[in-house]
Amino acid sequence: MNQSYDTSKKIRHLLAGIFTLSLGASLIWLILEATGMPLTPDLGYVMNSVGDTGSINVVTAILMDYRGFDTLGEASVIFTSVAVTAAILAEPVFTLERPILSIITRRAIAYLVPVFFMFPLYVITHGHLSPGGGFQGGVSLAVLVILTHVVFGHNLAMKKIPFSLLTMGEYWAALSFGILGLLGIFTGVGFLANLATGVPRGIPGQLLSGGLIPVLNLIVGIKVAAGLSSLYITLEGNPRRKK
Amino acid sequence: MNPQIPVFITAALVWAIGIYGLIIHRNMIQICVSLSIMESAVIILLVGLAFVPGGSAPILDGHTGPFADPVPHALALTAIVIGAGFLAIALSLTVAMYRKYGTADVKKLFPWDETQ
Amino acid sequence: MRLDPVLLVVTPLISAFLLSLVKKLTPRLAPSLALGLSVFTLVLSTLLAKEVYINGPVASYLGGWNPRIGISLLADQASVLLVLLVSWGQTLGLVFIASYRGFTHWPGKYLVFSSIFTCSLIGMALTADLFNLFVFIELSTVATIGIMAKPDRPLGSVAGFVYLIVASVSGSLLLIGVVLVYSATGSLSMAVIAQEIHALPPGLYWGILLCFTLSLGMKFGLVPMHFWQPWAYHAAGCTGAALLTAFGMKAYLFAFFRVLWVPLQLPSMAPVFFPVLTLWGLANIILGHTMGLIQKDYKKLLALSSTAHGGYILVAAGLAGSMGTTTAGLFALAAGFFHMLNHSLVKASLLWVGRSFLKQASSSTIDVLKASPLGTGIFVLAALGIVGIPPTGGFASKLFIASSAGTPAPVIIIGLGTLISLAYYLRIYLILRDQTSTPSIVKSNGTSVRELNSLFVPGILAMGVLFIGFSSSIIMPVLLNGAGAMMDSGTYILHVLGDLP
Repeated sequence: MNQSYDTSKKIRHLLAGIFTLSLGASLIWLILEATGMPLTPDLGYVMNSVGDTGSINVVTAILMDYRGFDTLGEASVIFTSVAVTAAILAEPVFTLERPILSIITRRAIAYLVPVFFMFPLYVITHGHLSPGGGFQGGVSLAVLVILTHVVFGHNLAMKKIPFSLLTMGEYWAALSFGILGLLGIFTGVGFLANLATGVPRGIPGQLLSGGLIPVLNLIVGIKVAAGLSSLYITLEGNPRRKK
Repeated sequence: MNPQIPVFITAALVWAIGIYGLIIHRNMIQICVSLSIMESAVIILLVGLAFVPGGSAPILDGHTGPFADPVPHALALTAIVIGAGFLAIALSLTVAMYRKYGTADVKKLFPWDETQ
Repeated sequence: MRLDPVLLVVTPLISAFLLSLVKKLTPRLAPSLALGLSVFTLVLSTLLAKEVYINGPVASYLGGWNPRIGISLLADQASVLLVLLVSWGQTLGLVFIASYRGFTHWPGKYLVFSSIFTCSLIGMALTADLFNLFVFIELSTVATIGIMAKPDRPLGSVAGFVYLIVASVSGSLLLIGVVLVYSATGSLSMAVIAQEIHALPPGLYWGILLCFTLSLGMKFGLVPMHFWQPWAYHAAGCTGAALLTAFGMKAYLFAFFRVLWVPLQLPSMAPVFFPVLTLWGLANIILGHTMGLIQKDYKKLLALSSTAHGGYILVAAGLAGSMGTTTAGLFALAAGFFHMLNHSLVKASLLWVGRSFLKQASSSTIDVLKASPLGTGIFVLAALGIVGIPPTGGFASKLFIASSAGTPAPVIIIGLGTLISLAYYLRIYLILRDQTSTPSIVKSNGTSVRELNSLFVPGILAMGVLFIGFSSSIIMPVLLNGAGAMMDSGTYILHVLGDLP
């Protein structure tokens, strides 16, 4: 009986393999067909982005300005998934302490944390000048929170970075993203408008340039950092015992 | 040969591996990993599409010349973030099920009888 | 200045952010605030619908960019109908909860999730950008899991997980479709794609069509991919399930039709797909109804019935597409829209009145359901509407769809489906009638008064079914207008791209 079960399992895996390989083959064919099309006209993002948005990083210009509405959408996806995770798993409590690392590691990390802090800060604030932006920097900031938990143990980390601070940071950042978008509506240009609302462009290539793009990067950075670190804390937390 | 072709083949292969994993695995963690693999395949595809012969990163800090297509990069970032949100929910559902029933095997959890 | 359609998307989104903040600071204020904001959305959508029907479609250019490089939204005669439906659904859902829970503290984050869900559905209806459509569909998926998975329901997590797998595969297919379209046409705007898509080779075109059909089909329950629906609605609880099926399914169907007609240009590119769609819809009707017949659980039965009714709408769209932009074609699609409206009213009514049956029986198995006489009355009215007995709206919509079919086969299948659904609703009625004799209203501890209050909203909805049945001659011209806007992609392109270079 066991043998027949194994055989049926093998056949099932073989069928699944053939099915997925044929899916993959048809995908390759479709992509080659699509890229084989005669070259389509350039939309002019590279040509115009500095003049249009003041940001010399074209990807950031698309993310935060031309297609800023998508960015609001994806920020809402992260917002909602944090809320769903919090609704599925109850609010985290740390009844069991994880083994904290040795004193050498803790001392070393304590001195290194400010240095580590510089990288996400740079990535967020220079999002319109160099590769990076709110999302990438926010993720690195969230990693710092996780590092604090791993090195110093949950109880100390929760005392230094309270869960409510993260939650509130996320809510306020999300709200200010939406309200900043409304600025464009009030000036009659369109939702999430940037330079057209009359904010100064600055000199492209300098830190203070790109109109609202650095502000949006900062907001998204705070939001993603708060969201992802509260995701980690919610997943890591011990189940609350119901007595 | 078009240098994009190996990238496309990789993307399709990784996508197929993700779907294969979804079909055969019964453990929720393994399903989460498969979901993640499937999502990365589309990112690889987007990166391959952005390729322009001799193009550099689309950052206009002085140098001229061809640049990679910036739109797929922006789409890839959005897709990554959405995928991360999905993965977080999938993992939290796994944790919830494991806490409640002590197993992450879908076959043991899912009541297959349709009429019940 | 004309009303900007983006406000319809932004209002529920900002409400969701605001509500989660308010819920943290002063939880007691949250329900009233949520109701106020959702009524505000409703007012905005009414104003927008009025504006569109008087002065023609309104486009919104996000950030003021040309639609070729930025994102644009378009509110036309078709999409405002869906926006109205969704915002009514959100408001009625909140009124329904308030009717049995009052305006004090509501546990859980239902307020936030329902706001986000509304935002994503309205976004799906309005957006004129394919990638933006993808973002809104993923947002709706995440919000759906929030509505569905509750920690106190053991199967909620499993249903949520199954839904998540289906939604991930669907999202991956949709993204591949969007990426293929982008690399072939060089644009993401639906209007521009509609102009460029004629150059595509047939093999690539069919691949893209298949990606979109399978992906959105998983979302609204195209036949082999509907298996997650019974579990999802079972897990969601009656209040949330009504949002998912009565309003969510309609938005996915609407997005599917929009993608077929505008960016994919199906009528001119591959008209042979429309009969396939009709057949697929007929398969949905047959399979949904027969699986419903053997179902023992109230909520799962209603979920399978939704699968079948999605089939009726698909049949209408398939017939409309085969006939093209003729009077008969417009009438068929308008009949499909009428069925959408009817099914939304009826399904919400059945699920919300079902809440009181399930509460009194403390089980969702059909054989043990208990009902008060008033509840049974509402159930009967709504069931008449969903089966399609004259003079309800269900009769009118099924008659309109069947009369657009040129061949007898769809008529026979629609008739057969009606008979099967009559059988299972009759079965539930007989069980309810036998259980009704125990009067449960005399309890004086206040809970029964609340149960009575909770019948208010479903009662109004059931009366609405009767009303739209009588006034179909008033509603149909409006829907014909909407169907015209949906099928006329030339006007759509003109309104999105406008006179911009």
